[in-house]
Amino acid sequence: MLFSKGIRIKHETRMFYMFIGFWIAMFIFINVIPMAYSFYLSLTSYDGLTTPVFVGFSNYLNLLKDYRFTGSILQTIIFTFFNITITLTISLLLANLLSGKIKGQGFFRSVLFLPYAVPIIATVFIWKTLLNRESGLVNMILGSINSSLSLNLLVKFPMASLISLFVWQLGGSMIIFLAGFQNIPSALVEAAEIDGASPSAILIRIKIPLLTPLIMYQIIVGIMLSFSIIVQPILLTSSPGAAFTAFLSQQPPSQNFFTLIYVFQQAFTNQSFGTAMAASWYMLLVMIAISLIFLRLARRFVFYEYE
Amino acid sequence: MNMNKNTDFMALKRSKPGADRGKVLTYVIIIIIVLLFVIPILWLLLSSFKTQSEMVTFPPTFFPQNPQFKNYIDALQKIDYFKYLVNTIVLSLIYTVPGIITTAIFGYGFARFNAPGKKIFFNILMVLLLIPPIAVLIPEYTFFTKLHLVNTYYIWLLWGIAGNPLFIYLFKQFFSYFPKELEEAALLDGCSYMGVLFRIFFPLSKPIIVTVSLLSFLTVYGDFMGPAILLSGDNTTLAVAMANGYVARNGILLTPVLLAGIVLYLIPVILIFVFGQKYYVQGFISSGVKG
Repeated sequence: MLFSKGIRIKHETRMFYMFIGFWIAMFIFINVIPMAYSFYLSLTSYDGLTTPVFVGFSNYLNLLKDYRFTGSILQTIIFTFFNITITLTISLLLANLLSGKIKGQGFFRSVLFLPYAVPIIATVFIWKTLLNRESGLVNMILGSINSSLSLNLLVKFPMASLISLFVWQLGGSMIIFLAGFQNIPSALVEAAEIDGASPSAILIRIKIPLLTPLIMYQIIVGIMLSFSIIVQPILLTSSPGAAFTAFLSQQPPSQNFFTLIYVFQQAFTNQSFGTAMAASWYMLLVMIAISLIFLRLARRFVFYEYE
Repeated sequence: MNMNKNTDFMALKRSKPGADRGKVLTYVIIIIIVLLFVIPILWLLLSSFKTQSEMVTFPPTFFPQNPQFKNYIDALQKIDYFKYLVNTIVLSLIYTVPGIITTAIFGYGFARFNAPGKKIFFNILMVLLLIPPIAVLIPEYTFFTKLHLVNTYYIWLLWGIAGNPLFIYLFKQFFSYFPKELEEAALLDGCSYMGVLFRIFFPLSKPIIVTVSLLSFLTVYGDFMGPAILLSGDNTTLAVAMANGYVARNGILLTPVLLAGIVLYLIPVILIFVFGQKYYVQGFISSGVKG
């Protein structure tokens, strides 16, 4: 009896690794080896063509002295903070608005979700066209109020312009919040309504506490996504060049000069992969550190009973 | 989805006089917001019919002064639009089709078998789910350069069969709802586990297959940095070709032509969105609400 049970478990284990084995192999091939190689490269001086020369940790030390790099880290953190606060707050409020009893809810939801599906390159040029001084609708409206209000928003307020683009694409987080709102037991909301609680009190005292695990998840995802933004800040403020390297060498305004842009420029414009790799390891550390600090701070606000 | 769960109750009790005014206000707010979300797309459409000089002279015009349908013809001719479109579709399919098979296998493995080490690998999967692909793009680039894979479509094949963590997770969730009896009967009849997956589970999995296919297709269709870095010249995709190609001989960007190109580029996305929305949204929600 015991013996046969042992055989069965062994069979199941074998089956598991038969099904997953290829995934593990590919994970090693596509993630582990390149990451290990990139760590090795971060300890070398490497131009992408000749053999890497081992230089120890000097790339890491030099980066700390490079104010463009440290500045980019700071800008990324500032952007991440505002981007997450603004987009998540709006998407939470929109989801709350749509989760009530509303005719045409499905239609409204679809329209607000649609921009999320729009590919990156399209969103950038839509936004450029919208905020541009010469061709922009926003500028046209501002100018018709008072001609002194008419200015190039993309140049004057680069980070705000960038964040507005992500607000337009908040459909993804909104739809997740919407599903969260719909999973809240209606009895809780009913009881509060009978007691005469206002909709805003219900939102702040009941719904948001119940959604804290979801909000936490969205913030962590938001940190990862905010750190991985590169195409929009570059293309939003500069015109495309003839080749890809030309595109990367364009400088966004200093407000929008993020670490990932620094990393890609080091790699593909300056051909110094060692510096690029060291910078991206720093970036990963900062990302993880921010996430951990946030999780630590948020721990006491999270409502765990409801799952 | 239990969309009507808490709304039925409210219909019974809500009849206070103030409620109507609040309701009207809610609709007004929603309609304004919806308009704000639609306007950028409308502005794209309007601008794609404008002339080059209209786009660069201040102040902006609302309607195109002299609608340029020619912009659309230029968009198709200025770059070899159809070639890049075919490239994009081929690349998406190379990523999607073999990927569906392996992803289903991985999802089945995670859903059905318990084994020592499973927890570790599942946690790795969850971490991979969070890491944006662009974070590993340069390490992959240096590694693929060594293997002489840069500027080939094999990279997308590798990425596809390696299994996108989100898709593995979606398959795993879907399969774990299937009753155990379903496969036990087949196993007793001498069917293998792979047989169970492909003969019994797969035909029942149309919703998840559609969801993953759509998400997968759109991932590659809309990607910019991947093809920009890993492909060059004639091999590249529409997204990159458009960003680089609509430039006049004197170096000036042909904005209206580019915008016309983008409108055409968006058509498949909108079609997928309209007709496949049920699947698309569902897949999206299950990725987020795992808590």
